[in-house]
Amino acid sequence: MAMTVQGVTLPYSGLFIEHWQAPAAGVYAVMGPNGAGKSQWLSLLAGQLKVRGGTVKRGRHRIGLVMQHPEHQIAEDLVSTEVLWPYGATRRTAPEFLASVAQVKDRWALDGFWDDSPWTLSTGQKRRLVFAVYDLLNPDVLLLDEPSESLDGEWKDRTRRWVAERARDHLVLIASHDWPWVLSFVDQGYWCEGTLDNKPKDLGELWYERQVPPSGRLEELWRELLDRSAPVGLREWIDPQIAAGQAVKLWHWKHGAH
Amino acid sequence: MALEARRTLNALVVVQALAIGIAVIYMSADIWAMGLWLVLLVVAQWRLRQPMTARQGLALLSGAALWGILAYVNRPLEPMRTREALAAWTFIRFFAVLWFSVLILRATSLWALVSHLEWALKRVIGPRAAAGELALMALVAMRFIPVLGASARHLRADARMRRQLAGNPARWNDALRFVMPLVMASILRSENVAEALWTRGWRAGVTPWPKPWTARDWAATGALWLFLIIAWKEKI
Amino acid sequence: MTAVIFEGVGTDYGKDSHYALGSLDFTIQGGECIFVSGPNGGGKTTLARLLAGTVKAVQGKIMLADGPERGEWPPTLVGWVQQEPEHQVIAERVGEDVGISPSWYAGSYQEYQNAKDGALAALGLTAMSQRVVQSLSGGELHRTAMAAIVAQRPEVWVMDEPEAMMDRAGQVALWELVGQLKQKQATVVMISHDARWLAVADRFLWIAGGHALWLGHEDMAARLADPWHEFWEIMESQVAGAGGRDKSPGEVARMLWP
Repeated sequence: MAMTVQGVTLPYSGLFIEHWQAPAAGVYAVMGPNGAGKSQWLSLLAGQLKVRGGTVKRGRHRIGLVMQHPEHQIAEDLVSTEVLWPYGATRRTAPEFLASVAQVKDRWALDGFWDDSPWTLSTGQKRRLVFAVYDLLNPDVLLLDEPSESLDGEWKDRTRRWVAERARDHLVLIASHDWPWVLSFVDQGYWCEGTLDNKPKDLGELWYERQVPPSGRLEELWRELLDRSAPVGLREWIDPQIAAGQAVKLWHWKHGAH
Repeated sequence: MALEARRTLNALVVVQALAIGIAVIYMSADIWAMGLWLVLLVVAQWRLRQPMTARQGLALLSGAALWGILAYVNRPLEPMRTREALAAWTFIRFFAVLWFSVLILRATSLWALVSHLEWALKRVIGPRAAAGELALMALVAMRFIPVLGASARHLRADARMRRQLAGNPARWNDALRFVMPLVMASILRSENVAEALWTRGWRAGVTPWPKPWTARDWAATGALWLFLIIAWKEKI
Repeated sequence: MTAVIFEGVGTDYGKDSHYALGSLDFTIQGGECIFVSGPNGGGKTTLARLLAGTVKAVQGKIMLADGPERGEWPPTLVGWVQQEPEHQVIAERVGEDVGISPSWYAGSYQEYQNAKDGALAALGLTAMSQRVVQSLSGGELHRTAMAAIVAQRPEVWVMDEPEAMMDRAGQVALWELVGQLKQKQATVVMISHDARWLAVADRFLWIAGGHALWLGHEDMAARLADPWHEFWEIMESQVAGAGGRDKSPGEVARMLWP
């Protein structure tokens, strides 16, 4: 049975969800202004936000939520304990489990601080730790709240690859303000402002429709080109190589040189 | 903002109201007076348009009940009837006092209350570091307790989620496993708050600006003391 | 204008090697905007703490150009927008928190009110002044933290990933704020992974593994994978005479698609 939310209004943000049904698998972005209720919605799906009225059905899905602030999910005095405590003693010695632990440690590069206290880590490292925890727990539905925040370029890239791989047979929802990052690998998204639509839309179109002030010059250039009806794609600006390729074509076209 | 500043009373008036209100309610020895206070409290709660939550109600009842029980066990030599009446009366009095305090504190800004008290204290004892440190402790605690509560809720929700995902049933001692981390987190949190206060300019010697005292504040203070004197003289 | 001098500064904050930083030997000129970047856990936030005065230099000293060492600086001289606004925001309500510094240092009650109201308005928070901090979303909390430092009126600004979790409206407000700071010739230390600050900053500092390295604009842009930089590298290599790196995006759009 699919997850559904019906007739729910969230506190403070006032976000109203008339009817929402979770897609089966894949990765979807949740975009919208500050305070629109994106995080609240993820908490609602994870069963951590109680609301009056409406219904939320989660079926038998195993749901995991990586919160906005990694500190809200760190409680142990060792990184290793933080990752391993939920598992029973017999499980911890099973060879296949040890193999997954090794894989997760490797993916999130935890070896360097496996025996340290999580509290001494930087914010970006703490975020990696919480990703690792949920990577190992392997939920059916993974909810990520601002996952790219405080990650440097390399880790944004590695996180993107991890999410894209998971999304092949799991559902991943990402609440974010980082348009270039989500546009680089997410096809569809929900817009969250006042109400939440039932069906996701093409994320490129959402970007063009909803976002007025650009975050960088290449994005601004692309919006200008789109406004001038130049034959360019909605997402080409997020990859400078593709953008440059397209711009070279435009240049030759207009300046007649080949 | 300016309008709102003019409409609200100075925090020091609120402090006086709190003290006088508690004194009068506590001194009341007549059933009718206590009944009157309780009716006024109901009206005030209704006027605030913020219903009391079940948890707050329970806290009020259990707090008052504790004092009632104490009154009962502290008088082992009195006859049973007297002890029971005394316990019941103590319970009602404390219930009203607690309710009144909660209402006043919810209707005002705790931050303004602390900073005005700090200002008043420094006016009386001079700009001594002790007054500043006292205020600092109050300020840190004010931020720290709700943050800690929120942290505990997040950690518990997260632990429950992780256990379910790992296929382990929840355990009775799940709540306990956060005692240590919370102590740890609370130390770190208080360091954070102290660090933030320091970098934002807090020093033991500085005094916050109090809100200017207005004619309304004089009037409200006068009315409060008049009320206290009447209540005293009439032995309500 | 306030210049800050680092003279052989080193620290081993946090016991573990994660946070060791140094030795730092440089001068941040008054009115200069320094853009600091580098990998997660490299020591960027430790630099912020050194400036904010909450971490002491174990060796060397940090001074103002006219002499006083870090311990003797005026309390509100350095304004630190922390990476985690949760750590920085102290009061119960938005307006109260924003007013903290002026409540101690403004010339009168009226000036305190003005500083507070002005800062709230600058970040678009006027309507949220009475909101309880606990009820804010991540982006709203970050804006509150920023407004509080605006109200503090520091001469040296240290901003640690100020664009995190902000929607575009917040980012525009932040962008305008940094523009105003530059106009007022405040000294700004901007810590971020975001290439957008390349366009604003005067000098570029890369901090990795506890070591600081000054970079030129091009080097910094390459390390941050600045999309605009990368775009023009390719454009210039493929199209002879396609200049425009310094043009505005609007002009480039007109050039490519007249």
